[in-house]
Amino acid sequence: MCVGVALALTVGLAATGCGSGSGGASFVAAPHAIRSAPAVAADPLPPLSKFVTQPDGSQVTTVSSDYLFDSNSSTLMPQAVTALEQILPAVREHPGRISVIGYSDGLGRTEDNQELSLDRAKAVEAWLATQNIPSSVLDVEGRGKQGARDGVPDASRRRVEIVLR
Amino acid sequence: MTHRLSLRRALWPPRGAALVRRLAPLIAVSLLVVPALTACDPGGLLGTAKASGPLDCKIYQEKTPKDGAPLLLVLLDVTDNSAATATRVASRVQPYLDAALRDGSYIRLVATAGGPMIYSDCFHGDRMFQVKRRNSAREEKDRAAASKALGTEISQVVQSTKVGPTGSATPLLAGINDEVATVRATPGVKATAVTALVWSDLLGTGGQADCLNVDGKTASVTIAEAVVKRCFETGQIRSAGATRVRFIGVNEGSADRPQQELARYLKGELCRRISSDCD
Repeated sequence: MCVGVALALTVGLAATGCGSGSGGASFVAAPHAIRSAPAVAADPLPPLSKFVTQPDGSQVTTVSSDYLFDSNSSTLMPQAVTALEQILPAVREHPGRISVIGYSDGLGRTEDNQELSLDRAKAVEAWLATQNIPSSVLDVEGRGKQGARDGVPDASRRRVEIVLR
Repeated sequence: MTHRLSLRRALWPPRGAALVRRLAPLIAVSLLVVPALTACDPGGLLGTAKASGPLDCKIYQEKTPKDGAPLLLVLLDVTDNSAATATRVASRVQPYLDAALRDGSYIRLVATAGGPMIYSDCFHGDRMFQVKRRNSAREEKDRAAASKALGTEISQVVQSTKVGPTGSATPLLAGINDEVATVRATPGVKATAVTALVWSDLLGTGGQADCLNVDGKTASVTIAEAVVKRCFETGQIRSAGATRVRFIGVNEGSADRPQQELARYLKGELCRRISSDCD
């Protein structure tokens, strides 16, 4: 009888393909390995604090939207604050009005770019407001694709300008 | 009938036949009880046997409706095949699996780790995944179980991929259109909208000829723009047209600050060029 039971157990296991370890037999983990990461050098932030005087006497500084925002986003990145803090002294000292103007590149729908550029300018304005720059001296404008070549994803066009008038 | 009996007698002499008769009930019971007691799947006896591999994906598949179904193309650029990374990949893909199982979708998976393309036994893209039951509670339960099983399958693909010292997402991105064309050309398949889900950190080290090799580069917008521009100008990567592209692996690992910045810029630049619907 014992032989019979043993035989039955063996047959039961073999017939259903339940040999030891067969449950995950086709999954074999490869030896653990990690691809070498590339060496990437840090890029210093652009000199935001440097304002350039324009022909009309106003002063302007430009910051790449790619530094401030994620793609298609109007939420300031954490590191954007570091960049914007550089312009605070000049903004605080300026007695006149201050314009925050957003631009986009030439890719995508005109109305989407218009909206995104305005939202980004508003995000910068909102941050300036948290730094006790009164909203009453701030003008916000979105210029969308203005000046950009249609259909061209030119990074230099994606920017926010801060103009001291 | 006569022939069958005579054959039995030839194979089983009288004494052996008596032994078999005595053991027959025991063997029959063992075929059902033993697998259960040993936590084995008795599906082979019950008509739901696993075809091959650890998971029978057919049990999560339905017949495609006449108007077709969307295609989820999962592209994995595996840079680390640890269990922890595999779990992270699976968890990021999970919402898309849930949606596929709920709404019905073809799923095709392609992985690479610097070597040849690896295709999944489960995710061929030739049959529509969906879990539908008459009972909604049952459907929800079965769908959750299916999602978990498919997530495990993805985790195992990651862990079984042999990772080389160099590589990049270039071949995967370059292959999007071909993979979609392959699925569309499969008899009986009618793929509608396509979503390409790309797991990659975008920090390529594929050698000088590889346009997404960023070894030695500076983390600037200008560099990222130039890198991606070269990819498209040299034809190493082409526009995926109307395919929705979702990059899900950027800055999910242990990259340092410059690597994170560059990966973010690269994702933005790739998105601008690869598809009109990209994130």
